[in-house]
Amino acid sequence: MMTVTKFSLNTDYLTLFVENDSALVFHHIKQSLFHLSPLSVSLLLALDQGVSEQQAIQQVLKASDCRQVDIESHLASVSDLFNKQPQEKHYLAEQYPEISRPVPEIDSCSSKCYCVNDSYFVIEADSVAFTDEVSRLLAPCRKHNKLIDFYVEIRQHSDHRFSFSCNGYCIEQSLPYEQLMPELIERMQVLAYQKSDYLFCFHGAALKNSNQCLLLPGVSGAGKSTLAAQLAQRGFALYSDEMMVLDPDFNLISLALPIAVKSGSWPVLTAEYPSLAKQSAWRKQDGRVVKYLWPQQFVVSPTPSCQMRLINPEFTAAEQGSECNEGFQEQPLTVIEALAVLTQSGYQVHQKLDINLVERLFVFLSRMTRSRMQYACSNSVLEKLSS
Amino acid sequence: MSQQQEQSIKQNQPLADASHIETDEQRRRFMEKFGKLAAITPIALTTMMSPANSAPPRSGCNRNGKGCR
Repeated sequence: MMTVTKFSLNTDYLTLFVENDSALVFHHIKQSLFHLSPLSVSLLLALDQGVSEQQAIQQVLKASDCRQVDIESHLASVSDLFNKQPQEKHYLAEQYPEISRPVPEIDSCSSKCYCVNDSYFVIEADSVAFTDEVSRLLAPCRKHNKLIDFYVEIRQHSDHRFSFSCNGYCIEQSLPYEQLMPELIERMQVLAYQKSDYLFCFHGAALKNSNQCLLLPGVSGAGKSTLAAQLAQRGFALYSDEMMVLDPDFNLISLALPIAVKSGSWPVLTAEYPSLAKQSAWRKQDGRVVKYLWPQQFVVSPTPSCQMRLINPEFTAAEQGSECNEGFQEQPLTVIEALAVLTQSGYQVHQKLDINLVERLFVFLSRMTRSRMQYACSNSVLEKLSS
Repeated sequence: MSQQQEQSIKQNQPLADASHIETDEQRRRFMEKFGKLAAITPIALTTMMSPANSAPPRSGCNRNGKGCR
């Protein structure tokens, strides 16, 4: 059921969306969506009548118990919504540069060619050790093709320092060895979805079993990848542990690359993934140490639509002496709350964001079950999702 | 979900539910409703989606780039 209601305003480039006590406004010229607190809504409605700022303040004072000083201090940010200046940046500006660069001519790619969602990568490294690591880790996605999309070169230029380039575009000039694999896999993930006909990409894991498609958005450290790895051992096939990519029909796109497991989760996952103990450890640019593992199965996209369920996982370590299941809580999320979770964790839009697309996003979210699960150990979540 | 909504998704068309805040009375009611809540809710206006914060998601970074090198 659609719980978000749309209201057009006197200001023709602003559209208000209301869901219970929460509201958003879409700015058609800036192609931007803003989350409004109740005071912002009151001020917006007052200013939308074309009255002066002083009259707007008086109207809001009359309708609320807010102090005049609070209303006045918030007025500037709401008045900014009536600015018709378009954004300088466009949504397409964040496509990686190598997407539009020509692929250098290379002789053969039979042993170094890898495929992720119809994008073909050739990975050349002059470090024998790293070439072996890539060959071992990415063996499940090795696939030969005459035409390639991305030629990745990793060259050592001083002791343990490497340059990283793709289609002749220099991405990094001085990476330490232990950061090479995370950089390579994260770049492949982004390039594979940016090369596709995607509509939105949100940060999070996506999985599917016979009953449902699961979206697990959340900020880093919330437990998405660990949960994804555990669900992958319980009948779920993975789309991706990092990117929830939606095509123009709002179907999920699969990015078959290994799951990055942070060091804190190694003890939890070793029993289910014994091979984890033998995997090399790598360091991400943010300093966290990861190992990679492959799930049993990836979803072969495109897949027919399925019943969607969005869960925002929030892992918090159990207090000493408390029972593992004590901390479990599940709270429903409204459509606006779910969109806030999705966008807070990081997202990319591939085209102009217009009112039509915003409404389709609301409909997409309104069709699914949405909740936040707070837990101290993943067993409680796994039980819930298996039931 | 109604058949009309499903149809809208398939046809990539917006929902036909455009209401307009037409009357002063309706506007006043909305201002009262949100005005009452305003006193007990933190004041904020945050950008949820905009070309300025649309970027490839990266693990370890939030959308403002915090946490990244």
